[in-house]
Amino acid sequence: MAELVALLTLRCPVEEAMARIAIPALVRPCLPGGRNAGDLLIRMTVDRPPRLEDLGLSKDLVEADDGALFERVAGAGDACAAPIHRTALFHAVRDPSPDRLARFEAELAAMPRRTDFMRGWMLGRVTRAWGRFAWDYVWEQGYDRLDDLTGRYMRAPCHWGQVDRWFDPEHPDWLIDPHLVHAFCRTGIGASA
Amino acid sequence: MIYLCDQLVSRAGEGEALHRLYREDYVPGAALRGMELVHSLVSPPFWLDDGANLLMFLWRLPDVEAFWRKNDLGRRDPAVRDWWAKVDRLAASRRRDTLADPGDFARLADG
Repeated sequence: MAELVALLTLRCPVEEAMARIAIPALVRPCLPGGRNAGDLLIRMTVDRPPRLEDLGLSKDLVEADDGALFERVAGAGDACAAPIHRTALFHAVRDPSPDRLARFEAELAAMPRRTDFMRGWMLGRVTRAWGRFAWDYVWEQGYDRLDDLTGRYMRAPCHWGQVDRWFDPEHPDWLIDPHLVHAFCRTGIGASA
Repeated sequence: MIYLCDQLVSRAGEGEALHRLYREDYVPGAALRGMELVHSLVSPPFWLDDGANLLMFLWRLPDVEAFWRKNDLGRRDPAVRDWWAKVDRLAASRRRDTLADPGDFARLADG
């Protein structure tokens, strides 16, 4: 089994696409404020990657499809079980040596224990990617409230004061292509502000 | 307050040229992105023509919002990334650290 995340940019109303998808998966509209997020977030565990047709969609309904199959590197709980689900896709573009990737993974995976507002989370290594970039990582979390992601996560010192350097083309440790995916949605679980 | 400290070790004999490049080509743009230069220090305190100078530039930003604004503006501008490639031709090594006064830790985390 493998984990799958897909971000679809649609040519049809998002409600129409959601109504067509009749498979066990998290299928939710992306909230505004993401980057390269598209319209619809799909998250599921699969034994083989589905084609658009398997999802009940067709190419004429979908303008762009970014996504990845991935395997868990680290995690705790269920990132889809909180009111807000966030996923990010990263491409390690500069000097992705095994040592640097290991340090990047360790610092990212340490973020949940340096904060107290991430619920379930998973860091995954991509085994197959499609869409705009050769994605290498999936980084997903669950949050109780939208502000936990858009406010507290952004203010967390381990974020801006440590991990962000891997994403900073000005920093000598820079690793990750700034053209990343940052997408989030309401899961429909619980009430979220 | 958030501080950024750039430390650059010049290639032998390139300390003065590296310092000029940083002051003339990086400082004005960084100021437009909200960074305030607090200190510009060099060791040893003369230009070596046969060795490496250590250049240290200490910047400050008022808060976390200013940190992300600086990032957003810099990452949108490919000229910023290209400029660092020029630096790497005159510098043997460099590091950038993000720092804060421990007395500010709670305020910075709480916003």
